[in-house]
Amino acid sequence: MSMRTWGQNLLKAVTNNAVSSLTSKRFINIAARKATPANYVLATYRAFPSLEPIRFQPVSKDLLGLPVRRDILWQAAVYERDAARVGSREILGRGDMGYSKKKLLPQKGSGKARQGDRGSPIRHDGGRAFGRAPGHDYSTELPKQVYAKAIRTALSYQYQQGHLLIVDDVADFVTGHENAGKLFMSEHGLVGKSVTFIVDNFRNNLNDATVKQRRVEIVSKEGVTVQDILKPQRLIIESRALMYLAQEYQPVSALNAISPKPIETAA
Amino acid sequence: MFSPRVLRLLGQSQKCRHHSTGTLRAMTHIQKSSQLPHVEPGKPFEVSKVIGDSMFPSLDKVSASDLVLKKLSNDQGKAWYTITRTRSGLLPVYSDIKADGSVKTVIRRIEGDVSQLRNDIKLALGISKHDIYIKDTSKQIVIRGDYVSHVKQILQKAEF
Repeated sequence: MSMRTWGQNLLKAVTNNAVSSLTSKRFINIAARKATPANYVLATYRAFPSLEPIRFQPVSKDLLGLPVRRDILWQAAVYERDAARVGSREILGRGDMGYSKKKLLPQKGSGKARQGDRGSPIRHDGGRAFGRAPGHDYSTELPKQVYAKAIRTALSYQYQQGHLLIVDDVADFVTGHENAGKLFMSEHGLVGKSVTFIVDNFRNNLNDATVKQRRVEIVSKEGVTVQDILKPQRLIIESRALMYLAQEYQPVSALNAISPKPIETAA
Repeated sequence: MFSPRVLRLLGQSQKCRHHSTGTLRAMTHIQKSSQLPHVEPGKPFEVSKVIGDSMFPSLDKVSASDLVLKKLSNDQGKAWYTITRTRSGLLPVYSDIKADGSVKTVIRRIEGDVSQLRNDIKLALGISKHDIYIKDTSKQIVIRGDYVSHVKQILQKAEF
């Protein structure tokens, strides 16, 4: 046996040994710790404005039971902030400086370096080359599925913190008097806390009663952003609005799998 | 764009006040990205039966086992984790080839105790603790070096 084949055999033996050790008891821990999380969370649906529990409603873990993914939330927040930029900044170009547009020197014969006009970007007090005009679009792109997951992750986070209060019916007061809003905040210990309502439809009394509440926001279900969900200390959402979000930002169906599996039909 | 407070002070129309935060922000969002469907505020909608049944089933249609963590062995320890397969049914273990030619192994789609899984994989592969780490923001495990087939083998043995 040459030295080389001996070395190769030794290498083989070592790798075989490594693989067999993998298949022995080392991975047993991994199999033993395998578990699947609950498919549903038991959400409490509440009355309004008492916020007393009325009933339990199982809600899919894809909506309220997702683990926190800070990377996805961050991407969504950046995406929203980019899209919200107006882009109104005006930058002066070479023609906007108020200088003469005339060439400063003749091209040849002066004995000096070549010069263009007074506003040329090459001059220290010249205009900006390729300056952005107002109306510049700073928006960036994000895959729909990532944004949808961000919405669901944000809802899950607030739910897991105990800050998501789901109202079974309509989140509206019987009166639009400002005392209704004040009383609601003080009764539930929300004074000084930021509270956001996500409503299914316009709630006149809720709006009127909370106009003077500095830290109360009312958001319609269509306009909900990830930041709206993440920012408030208490998020009060109507059950219909929650269903709307679940539908609008639903997880990708298994039917859209990359390599489709045959669908079992009850033939 | 005005803050909702400013809008209220300006005494905008009722519609504007109502959709103070949401719609205004959403409009810029929609107009610029044109990714999200344009929906009229307050427009009635129907929840599809599939979503209603799958995401908000009635209490009697859900069994108790659906509401709790399911351990698949008799292991008494508290630590648990799972790795879900991708939509194409594969294990989410990838090699990440860096610009300098070095290879990293990335394990995605982990739920549960990520650090416990990291420790177990470290033991199973027999590698140093300096060569395996967790990306905390995305809950991924990264191993320095190409261990893709090894890790897949381990996970397949554990029937993930």
